[in-house]
Amino acid sequence: MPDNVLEAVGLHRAYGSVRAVDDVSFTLPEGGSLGIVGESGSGKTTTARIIVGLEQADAGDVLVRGQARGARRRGRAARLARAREVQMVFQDPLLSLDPRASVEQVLRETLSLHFPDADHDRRVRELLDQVGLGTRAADARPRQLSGGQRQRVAIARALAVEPAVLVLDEAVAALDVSVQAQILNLLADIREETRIGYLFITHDLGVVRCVTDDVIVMRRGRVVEAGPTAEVLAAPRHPYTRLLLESVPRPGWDPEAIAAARRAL
Amino acid sequence: MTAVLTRRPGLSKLRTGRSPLHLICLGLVALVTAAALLAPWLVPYDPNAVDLANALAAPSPEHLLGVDAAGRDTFSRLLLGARTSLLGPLGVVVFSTVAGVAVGMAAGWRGGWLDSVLSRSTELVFAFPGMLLAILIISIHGEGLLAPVVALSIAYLPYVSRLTRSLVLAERERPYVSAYQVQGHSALQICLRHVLPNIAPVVLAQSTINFGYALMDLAGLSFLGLGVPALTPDWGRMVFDGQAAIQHGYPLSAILPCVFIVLTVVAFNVVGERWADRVARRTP
Repeated sequence: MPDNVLEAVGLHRAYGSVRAVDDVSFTLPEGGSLGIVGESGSGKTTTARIIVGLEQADAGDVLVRGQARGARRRGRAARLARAREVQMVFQDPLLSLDPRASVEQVLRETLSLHFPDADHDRRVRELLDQVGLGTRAADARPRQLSGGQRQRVAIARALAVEPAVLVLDEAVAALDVSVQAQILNLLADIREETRIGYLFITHDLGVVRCVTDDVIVMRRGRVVEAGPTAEVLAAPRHPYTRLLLESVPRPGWDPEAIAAARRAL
Repeated sequence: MTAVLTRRPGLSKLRTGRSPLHLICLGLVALVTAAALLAPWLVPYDPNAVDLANALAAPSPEHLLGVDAAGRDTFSRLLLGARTSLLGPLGVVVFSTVAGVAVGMAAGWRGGWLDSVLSRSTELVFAFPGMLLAILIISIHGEGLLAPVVALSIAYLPYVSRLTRSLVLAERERPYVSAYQVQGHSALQICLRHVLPNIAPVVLAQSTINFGYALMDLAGLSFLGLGVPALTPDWGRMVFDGQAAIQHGYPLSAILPCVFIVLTVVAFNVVGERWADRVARRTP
């Protein structure tokens, strides 16, 4: 199917006897947004790392626009082409940015790697503008920025490559709730403008509800439920999904009953 | 960050908590370096000018620190000796740092068989005492400053490479390295542009400490009459030349270079350790 920008087919990854990722398949349509939900250890981050190429799958394929992504290849052109397929935004922007590089240096370095002939001054301004950072932030180092600003820089860096798919691994989990909302709105705006595909890795069902069209629920490395986000959240079919939904704190919430249900599952 | 710098047993007890000690040592390092740089313009006498009539003369306005057994001005020799005595360790430190960082980085980054080969071979060098290795190489290569410098560089390389390897192992696990990989940067680019600058302060602190040890070793070698050619002013050589004079009750020309060696080594140690402490506190 050529209209799928990203497709994962039967991904497997085991660490010793632990099956971190066990027969995971999903598709992401062009310009779509797919959420992968699950608790810690459900294999969602390993899946993300396989997609971007930081881990190798034991079996299965990752296809971008119908082409297999294959193993990490040598050679500059192949490396850059791979980078332009999928980019990633990490959980903690303070750790995923080089502490010594200023915002402008970070963006310029990426731009000169991928677009050596482009007008970098203009592009840096565009990118900063796109993620809602003023040009004043350009000279700052990661430590001098707030958490939300740092994550904006990380998003700008990923967008600088102009990838087909952006993988966001718990990208808002380390942020304050109000800042989370800002970043999620920003991501929604960017998707509208650029038709980039999102793969959201998160444990937060609120995030999934906000920014994804489809969702898959992972548990112990396996996909237990998949479907359009609205349907899955409104009428979960798998007991684990129901449990995840009930685990969200709200009035009348009974943590003990949930713990019991979790043990029973 | 828990980078452990290698220090020798006796000197590791020097604590750098008190800042006056650190400031004094920093001043001493600056003073010795300045003396070495400016020596040719400061020396009152030719260091090799022999004035036998004045041999073993006590300090006087003409000869501030006296004259040695061969009638050479001790002050001039001390000043010019600082050049040889600091240039040698500098060579050792530069070579061992560059080569050690390259070896340690390759081992830490690539891992696998390359790590095994490099780590085992540097451990092999560890098994040889540095001085012995130096004496071996000098006895093959003959006299001159180059042979002992090369020999000690090889002896000091494992200290740097082992430290670099452990730092690189810790650094490459940090998400920013993954982020650069995802961005499509090559391993070499990531290492040189990002990993190296981030680990450099710790490595340089170790190198500063190594400088003191290399100075001590080179002085020891020239005291044994190895390495530095006979007429070159050098602190270790001066101690050797002054031995006989001590027995005659004129200790100044031998004691002074000893004092300078000890003070310089201690100063470099304290400065290096303090630097490492500050770097360790700065990194998250």
